Amino acid sequence: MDKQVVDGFWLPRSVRETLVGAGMVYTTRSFARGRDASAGDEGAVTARWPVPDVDWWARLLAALEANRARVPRGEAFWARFEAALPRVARRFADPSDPLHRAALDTLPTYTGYSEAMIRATLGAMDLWALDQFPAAYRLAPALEAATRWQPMGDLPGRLRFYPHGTWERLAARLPGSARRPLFDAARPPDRVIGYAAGNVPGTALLISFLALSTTVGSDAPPPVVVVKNSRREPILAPLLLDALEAADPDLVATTAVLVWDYADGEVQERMLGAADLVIAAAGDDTIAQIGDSLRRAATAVAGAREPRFHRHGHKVSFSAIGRDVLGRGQALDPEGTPLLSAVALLAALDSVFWDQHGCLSSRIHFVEVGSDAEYTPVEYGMRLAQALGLIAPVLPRGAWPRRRLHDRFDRYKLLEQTGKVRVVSAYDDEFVVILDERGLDATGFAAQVNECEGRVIVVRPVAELMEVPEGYLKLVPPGNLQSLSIATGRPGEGLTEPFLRFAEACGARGVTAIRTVGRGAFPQLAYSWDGLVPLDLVRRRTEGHFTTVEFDTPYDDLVATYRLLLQKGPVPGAA
Amino acid sequence: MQQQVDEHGLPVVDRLADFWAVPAARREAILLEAIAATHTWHYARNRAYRQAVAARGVDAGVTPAPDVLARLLRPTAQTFKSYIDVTGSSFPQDNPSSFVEWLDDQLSFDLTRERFASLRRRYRSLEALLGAVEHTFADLGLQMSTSSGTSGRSTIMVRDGDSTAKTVESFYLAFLRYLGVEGVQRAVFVMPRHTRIAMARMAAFSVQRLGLGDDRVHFAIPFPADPDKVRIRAGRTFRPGLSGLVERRLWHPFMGWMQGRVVDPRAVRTTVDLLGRAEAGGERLLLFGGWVQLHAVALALREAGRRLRLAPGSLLGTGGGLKELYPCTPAEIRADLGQVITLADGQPIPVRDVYGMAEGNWAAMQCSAGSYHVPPWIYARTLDEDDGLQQAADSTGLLAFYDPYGGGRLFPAFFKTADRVRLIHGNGSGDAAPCCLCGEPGTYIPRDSIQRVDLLDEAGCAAQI
Repeated sequence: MDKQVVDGFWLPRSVRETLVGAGMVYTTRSFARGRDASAGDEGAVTARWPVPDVDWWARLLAALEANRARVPRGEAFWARFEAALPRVARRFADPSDPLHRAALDTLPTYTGYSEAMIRATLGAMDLWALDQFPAAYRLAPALEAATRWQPMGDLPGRLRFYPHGTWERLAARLPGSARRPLFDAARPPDRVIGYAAGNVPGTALLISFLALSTTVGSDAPPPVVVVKNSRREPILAPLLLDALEAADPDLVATTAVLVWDYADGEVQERMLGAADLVIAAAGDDTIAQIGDSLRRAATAVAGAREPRFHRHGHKVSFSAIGRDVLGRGQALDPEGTPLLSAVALLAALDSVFWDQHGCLSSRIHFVEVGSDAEYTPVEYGMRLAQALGLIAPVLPRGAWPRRRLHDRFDRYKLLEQTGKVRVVSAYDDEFVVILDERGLDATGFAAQVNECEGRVIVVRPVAELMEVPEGYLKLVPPGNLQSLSIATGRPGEGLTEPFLRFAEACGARGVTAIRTVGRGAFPQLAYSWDGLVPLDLVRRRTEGHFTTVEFDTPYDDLVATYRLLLQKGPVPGAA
Repeated sequence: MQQQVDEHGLPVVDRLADFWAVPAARREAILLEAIAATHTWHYARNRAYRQAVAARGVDAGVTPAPDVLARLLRPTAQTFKSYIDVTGSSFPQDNPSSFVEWLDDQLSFDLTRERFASLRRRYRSLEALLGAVEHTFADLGLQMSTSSGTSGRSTIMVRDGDSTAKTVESFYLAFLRYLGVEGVQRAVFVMPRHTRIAMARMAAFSVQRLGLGDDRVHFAIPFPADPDKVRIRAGRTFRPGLSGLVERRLWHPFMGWMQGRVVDPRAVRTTVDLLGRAEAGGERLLLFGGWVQLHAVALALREAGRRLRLAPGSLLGTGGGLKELYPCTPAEIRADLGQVITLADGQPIPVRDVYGMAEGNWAAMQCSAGSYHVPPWIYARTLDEDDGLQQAADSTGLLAFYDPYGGGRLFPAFFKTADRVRLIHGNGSGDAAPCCLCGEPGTYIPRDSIQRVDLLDEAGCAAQI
């Protein structure tokens, strides 16, 4: 096979040998510079996946099911998985390893992201802290999480639950209800169906890892996991699963990553009819479509219980910079690294990764206005532009048209005559940074959020951090909110009451994760992802969403993140 | 052609028509020189333009190299729509002084701010405001026009007497050259006599230059179409508050009803009558209207079982594309028209499209081979995805145009459009791209190659809210 035709699917070797014969029909899709292309186009990379008949899918499920009987169970499985992943991560980070080269030969062209960004991601796979899962599964949140922040056991940070129903909200406040468990008894899934969409690499893996983590704290075998891979990034998951299989074949013997059509009702309902957990990371329309198929699949079987359905729709994320990290002359460390530079660099990274095509990428940076002793929002904006300029050669922008940057630049430049807008970056920069002090209504704010794409960052001054949830987040549909990257606090300081009140207000508006600036692209799977925590993979609870704060000491975590990223290499100045 | 320069530093051109006689290479040199001179003249006088290009590192003097030329372009989607962002409202009638301040910034001469005081604090409609601006600056001959306005967020353009005359001449020459309308004896416009829609207005003015008397130029829509009515009828943008509620709940449905029950039927009846008169008199007729209106005429004729045979040289003209959801494509409409209106020899009547935009002082007319010809006094190029000017003889990208002679003293007409086109510079000799099949040399856009660009391609998991 031509080296530029790659498998966009993955099956355990035993399954492949029996189910994928010479007569299998394949379909292909080609991309060059992140855009649809023909296979023959210069530089195009083509991915292929099988298009089997309907009965094949039943045989696939049966084969994966059969493998469950021969692989380790529960904690033993997870211990081996946890041990294997760092080995695989090291291979991906090693430029001399064929895996590393295979990923770099294909992913940049297929997805459009720069080679350096893909390389940085391959080098930072161990930031997916799997070791936190056991602690996450040991959590036993009670209903009092619906009224106040709860510690997270062995994990740093806090957890809060926001019931969606009025009755549930009231019930949480009734005397004696505080200690009632929030979740019912654990019932690890036997079959997990996942859906991955978009061109941000690794979504199918994320879903697979979450599904396999359900072995933690149980004595069950790993579930059958079948993920519908993204046609826009079908490459990374097969490469990594290959590597895991090479390290320990038992770990992935129940996992398959394939592509099928949402519109293929027969296959769709056959897969969904077998599932007891569905995890979909896709567009809102697709999620609605899957929901419809799920209902149809459930009604087709008398007495069937609808599976748990984890919806991860398209989201937006923001950053908030508190005045306590904006002090003039403040240094991050004894070496005298200016704190503002470190904060701007970390905050820039949150917007740079995946060029704001990812739901975790921050769109707007809210900056708290301080006194003369603090840097102003415009000074922050200038430092941010400087940081983006430093990052640009290290993590170049993907193969996206510069026209969009120019259009944003021109539009906001025009607005400078209002006296409330200032474009801080230059026309030829690979990014646009704008300071905008205009008041906006919901329509205007939504339009601005949508414009922040491809490395366009708006800095908006706020009098107090609380203005972020009360003045801005309220303008965004709660279901579209995701993360808030934050820079605040003082050395050694824990989570203060004012901070928790701010976090609470953000959570109430729909923010589901609060993490330190710089962590945006590397979320911790043990915490809330779109309002769901790992316990949601194995248990049921009342409707609502979790918000987690992923640290105990905001400032110290910021410093630690800065050091970690310097050590990992994706930031300028790294070794 | 004369090679003197005028007071703006532009190479003097006696008549735009002379450009057809100039060899391609020489023409390009003249245009590049004119672009540089136009830039310098406006840079010193036009605040909005200066701000836009200075931010891209361009100063007063430029050499017309491709990388510099690309930086002179302003987006049509922003420039004369920017009053919305700058004044913070799609309804400039609510804040006339902000609007005229914005307008003053867009122009290369001083509107004299003391005169702004004569404007009221607010106007009941956009039409009233635009009328008041024209009245206040009547001595300058300002004419306010708009884009089609169906989005409710109109481009608002201004022309003075000089630039209107230039635009009319530009349209007129193109009509003659590419549509061959010389000798037309009757012209029918399926539009109101009074409209601010720039393209319709300029087309009508230009046809009137053919020398037809008032009794030979007809406007089939009996009611004026001011921008407020167009906005409300389109139903995409309404005023805020109570007046918006009245617009949405009362005027929008009423106007829809009026359009369907009264205006359209009357326009169709009038048009069919005029077509009949032209047929009976053996007159060469030019009928101009939107696709939807022309289709309504075709359907009415079909329903009546009529088939018209018009004199040779008659022509149907259209423009503006299909701005609303419509069940038939232009090709289907063309076919329906061809079945009911033919030339005397039985051939379907030619239907020619006109491509243009409110910001343009020119239009590309569709020739007999279906291509859209860019007049030779326009320097047209396509832009690649990074906004680089493409120099190839045959290229595809966003259309950019420089009209150094059309903007006059008002503004430099250098624009980046939102239309993706294939652009061919057909010189008909050597290695250059081939001429259009109609035989006309010069720059053209082949049939069916104009696409409105969808600016956002959702790729990742980031939401659009």
